[in-house]
Amino acid sequence: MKVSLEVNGAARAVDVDPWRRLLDVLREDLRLTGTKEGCGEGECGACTVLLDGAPVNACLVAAGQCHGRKVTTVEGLAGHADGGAVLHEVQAALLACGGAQCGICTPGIAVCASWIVDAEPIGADAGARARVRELLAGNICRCTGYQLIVDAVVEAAQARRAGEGEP
Amino acid sequence: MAELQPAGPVGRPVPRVDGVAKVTGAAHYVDDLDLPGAWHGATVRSTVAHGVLDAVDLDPDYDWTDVVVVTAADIAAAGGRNVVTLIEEDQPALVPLGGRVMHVDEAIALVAAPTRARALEARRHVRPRISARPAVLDTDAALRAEVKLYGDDNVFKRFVIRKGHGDDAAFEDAMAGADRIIEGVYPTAAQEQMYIEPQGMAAHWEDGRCFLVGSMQCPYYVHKAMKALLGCDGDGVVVTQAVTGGGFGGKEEYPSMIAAHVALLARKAGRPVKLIYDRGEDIAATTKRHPCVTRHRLGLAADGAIVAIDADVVMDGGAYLTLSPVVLSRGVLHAAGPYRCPVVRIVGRVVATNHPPHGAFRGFGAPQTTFPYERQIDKAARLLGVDPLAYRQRLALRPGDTTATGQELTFSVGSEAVLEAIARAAGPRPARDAVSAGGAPVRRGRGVCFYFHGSGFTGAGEQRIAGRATVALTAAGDVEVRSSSTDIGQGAATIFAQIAGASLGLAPERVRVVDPSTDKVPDSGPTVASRTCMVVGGLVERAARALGTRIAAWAGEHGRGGAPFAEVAAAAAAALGEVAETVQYEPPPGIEWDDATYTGAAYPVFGWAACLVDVAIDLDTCEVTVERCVQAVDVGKAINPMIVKGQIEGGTLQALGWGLLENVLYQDGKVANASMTNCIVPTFADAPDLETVLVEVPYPYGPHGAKGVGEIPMDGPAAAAINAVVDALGVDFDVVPVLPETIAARRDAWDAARRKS
Amino acid sequence: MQPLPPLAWSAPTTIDEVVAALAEGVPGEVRLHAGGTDLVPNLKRGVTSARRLIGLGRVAELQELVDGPADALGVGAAVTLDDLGRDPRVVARWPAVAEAARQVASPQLRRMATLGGNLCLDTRCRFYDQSAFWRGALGGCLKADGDACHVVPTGRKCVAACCADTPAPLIAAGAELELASVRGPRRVHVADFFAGDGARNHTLAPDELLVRVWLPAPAPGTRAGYQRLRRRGAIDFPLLTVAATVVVERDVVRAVTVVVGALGAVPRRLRGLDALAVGRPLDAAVRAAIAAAATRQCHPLDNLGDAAWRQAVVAPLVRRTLEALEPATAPDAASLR
Repeated sequence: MKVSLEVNGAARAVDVDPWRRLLDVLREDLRLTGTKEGCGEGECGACTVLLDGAPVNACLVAAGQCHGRKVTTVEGLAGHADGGAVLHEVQAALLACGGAQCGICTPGIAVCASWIVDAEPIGADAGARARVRELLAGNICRCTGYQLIVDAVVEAAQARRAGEGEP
Repeated sequence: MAELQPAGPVGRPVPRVDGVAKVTGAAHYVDDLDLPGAWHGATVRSTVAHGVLDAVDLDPDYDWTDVVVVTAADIAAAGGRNVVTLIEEDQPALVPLGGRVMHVDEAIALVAAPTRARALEARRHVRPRISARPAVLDTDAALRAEVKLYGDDNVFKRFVIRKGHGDDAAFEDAMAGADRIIEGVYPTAAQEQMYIEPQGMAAHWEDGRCFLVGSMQCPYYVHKAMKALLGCDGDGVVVTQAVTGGGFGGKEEYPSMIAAHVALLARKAGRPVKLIYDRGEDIAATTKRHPCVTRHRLGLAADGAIVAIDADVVMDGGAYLTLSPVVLSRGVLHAAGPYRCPVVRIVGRVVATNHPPHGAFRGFGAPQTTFPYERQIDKAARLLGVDPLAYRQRLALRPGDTTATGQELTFSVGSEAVLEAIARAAGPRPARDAVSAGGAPVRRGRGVCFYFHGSGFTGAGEQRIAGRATVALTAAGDVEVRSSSTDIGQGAATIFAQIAGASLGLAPERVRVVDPSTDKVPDSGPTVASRTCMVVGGLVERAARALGTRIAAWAGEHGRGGAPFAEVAAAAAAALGEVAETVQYEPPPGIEWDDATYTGAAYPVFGWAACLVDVAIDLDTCEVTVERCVQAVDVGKAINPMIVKGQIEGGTLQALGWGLLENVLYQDGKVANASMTNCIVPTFADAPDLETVLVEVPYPYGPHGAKGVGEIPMDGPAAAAINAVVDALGVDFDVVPVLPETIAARRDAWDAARRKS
Repeated sequence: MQPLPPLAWSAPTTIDEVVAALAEGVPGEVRLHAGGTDLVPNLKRGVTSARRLIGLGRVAELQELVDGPADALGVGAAVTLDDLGRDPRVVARWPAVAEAARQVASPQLRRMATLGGNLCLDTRCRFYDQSAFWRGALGGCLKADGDACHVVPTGRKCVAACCADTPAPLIAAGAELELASVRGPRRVHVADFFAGDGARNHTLAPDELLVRVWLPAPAPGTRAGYQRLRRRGAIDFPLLTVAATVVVERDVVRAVTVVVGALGAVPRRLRGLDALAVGRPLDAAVRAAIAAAATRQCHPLDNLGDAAWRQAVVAPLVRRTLEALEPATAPDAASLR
């Protein structure tokens, strides 16, 4: 089956078994290996990508389901300016706050967190940390105890609000 | 808390050197490697716990074109030995025909095929025939030795530690002098490491040499195992660590097994082969924390002082010896706790069963023995009616005191400092009874815990390993750190860059830490035992200084004496070519250890920690919420406070998970919950905001005063959390884990206790 | 790691095409595929015999929420649980259904999983949710490849549990299912949709498609609630679910429905509650009486782990659900449409 999809802003076409996992299409057919497989059952979130802007587990999505849709992977988060890569707010914050350790869950967390700062405004209120925890609860990290990741996402959300001119 | 004294890049929260690659997805883990023409491997495993392998049948109706099958016969045929060499050589890489199958999921044969799907399909058509035998599935049965799995008694290793007495009769006399004796039995469960990257390895052969790359902690463990298996010398095999997605001990010894399998497949297939475990296979087949039962007696004087400690530790080693003696050693060496006591007897045994081998997991035996003594100390405080934290402060080992092995503590003893940090952070106790937002009756409790963890290898281990590290100025003028210490997420590469940078006056980003590969780096010893920063970081510091001295000498000879390294390095490199300084471990002075009597300095130095946990228990559902967790850890010196904090917090949540949530279930020798759906670890929604206090009581022989931190945060929080549950409910829980059903099963007891109070 | 077995997959665009494809297929070999969150792990474990999948993602009708007669709301079977949990009409008028949808699994899985899939979720049991290799070592069970039950060794019927969140609140809300096949349409109450066999716990015929779920307008004075038990704060399947709908008129109970799920194959609707509650205020005594009835009528098994703990939680969970009921706004006040 010919599947046309937009991956990180670029039109891509693959001729694959419609039942091939989106995860395998990304990693093997498109050589975008930033999306990781931790369990293959939707339990760990390491394969999180955005499908039409919403986070999904790429290990449970079939290629046939992606025809005509937009996929964003970790490789699509950073922007480019002055010839160099500019990290997305969540990537910069994960780096600055120590939110990445072994790094295997980091792409999925970065992708999910990018959706959080885009779509689920996180305030500066006392509930912000709990809200981040709720929204990232589909991503397992075994290294960090989560604390520094929550710090990073709250910081990225603040950076986003500051960037948008909010106090 | 000691002031953080920035010394160049040391002591600063420098971002990880591998951080950008990790947050952008550019870091390549083994399954991300593009190996043209690579086939995929799969492992045929035993379905029975104990038996004899009669045959390995290949389905005659299956099309075996493009499939390679490897059995034990292929090993000897190529001049190798069918062993996974570690401490002993009792474990085969593949069960041979007529050989004993020792556990479910033991590897029997291997297949490789052009695609993963084909390999998995082919695997279903390889049919081992096994005559089952009665299996030994618990330590009591193992000790009865009716079925013999190892030697005559099924005991892999036994240790006895004696302090302040000559023999058992003398010990009992001392115990008899106690005013009161507290006794308890403390079973602790297995625990799955649950690194998020499953185990995997790739191999290819070139000109008769085997090249392995994969997810691992210890390239030289793999290297050693491959020499025996492949029948080659050290040049015949090259082992390279790929970026590794977590280990926690789980990738200490098991990668040698996968390396063996993938090397055999690649040789027979004549092409590269990748062997990546599925999550279920990883949970079912690879090592876990040893289940353990400790019987503990604590003899108290009338005033509450400890007069004698008696601990009997029995661990389930599983089917092969693997690292069990060392895990037991660390367990017994920590079993008396960081408390003053004149008379101590610790007996430890690790026994063979038909479970898959248990192995290394952060803490390495110490969490299993910390839990018992910290429950015992809590019981003592309650019995005496004294504050549990103040009681620990009173009994804590201090400089001048001796441990259970008679080691006199002299320097870097952070016991008072960590307890004081917890006392300061504690704040008022939350209200004991409350109603939750959802209207549930809630009971709160507070628990504390105090513990220590020896940094580096036990006894003379570091001298035996004689780890080496190199710092080089390359011919191109770059500074390289070369060691076999792997970065498995703990930040080794970053702290090495900081340490070398500090010694040479360079920013860390100007130091390149070479990816560990056995043909490029010396053997620095394994990446285990809370030794990487303290021991190998110390080597890096010495090597960097030596390099600085040599370059300074060259600069002096060339009229640039006193110039900073950075200014003369390029000229020196141009003139001299590569300049490499390699140093070898030297023990601190006065470290004496007697392996025969298990006395003396068990470790060069200890890390110290204390923890406070507040819990709220829903009295309807028996669910426990950790509302607060503070851990204070004496790390000597935080080379990178951000990375150290991350290490401590990660270990803390693993410990809370082990205490209150996680559970590996065995049934008939099989892991009964081998999926992430059923073998659960904490999510974002289960973790409290963690409070971490870094305490710095410098270790004079560590780099900038640093000592081990990797394991200690795993040792105590489970005990603190369960002490908090006990505090809330007023009845003892002496088991790990304490799950809601554990609490529910004792409802009558705690209901009665609650009504009384 | 483990790729999926090769399967034929088609993506029709109309309900007629779907039911035609179902009618053509060999029963047991054809499966519907919506979110895939349950199907894919089961394919990996080799516990489904599917050979041919019919994707529902392009059938527009199945993705829609439609207003029906008498202020009912029709929820397409392929509406995601995330959309269901956020829909203002559902939130206002069927708050227990919305709450159940929001409690499922994780943010990612809720954006993939559908209401229809949740209703047809495969039953769960600790002896069944295992790899083919593991099940093989055990000799199989009544649900897959065997003839013995490892939970109830003398049992003849599979006791795997319905571990979905939405069935209990849908039953409590009196929801009906609209089914389609080449034989014609059919409607069935959600309560009657389930069958007491864990091996296959619903009555969808092999050629039938679940088209939509009809939520009837709540009667004036309706209050509803949903609570569940699980081990972690996210991801886990429920170990118990409780849904309640209570109609209160002039401070006294006129009708009460309580449904307890994740016990066995069928969500259990508690019997005899009218005698305990109707005509009385929903006070602590009545709530306690209903909770006590729940304890008598509900008997968790070791299919999902510790039965004694779950048994002890039945009564408090029922009591709490009744304490935390939310108003289901009467249709005339539903200005959110």
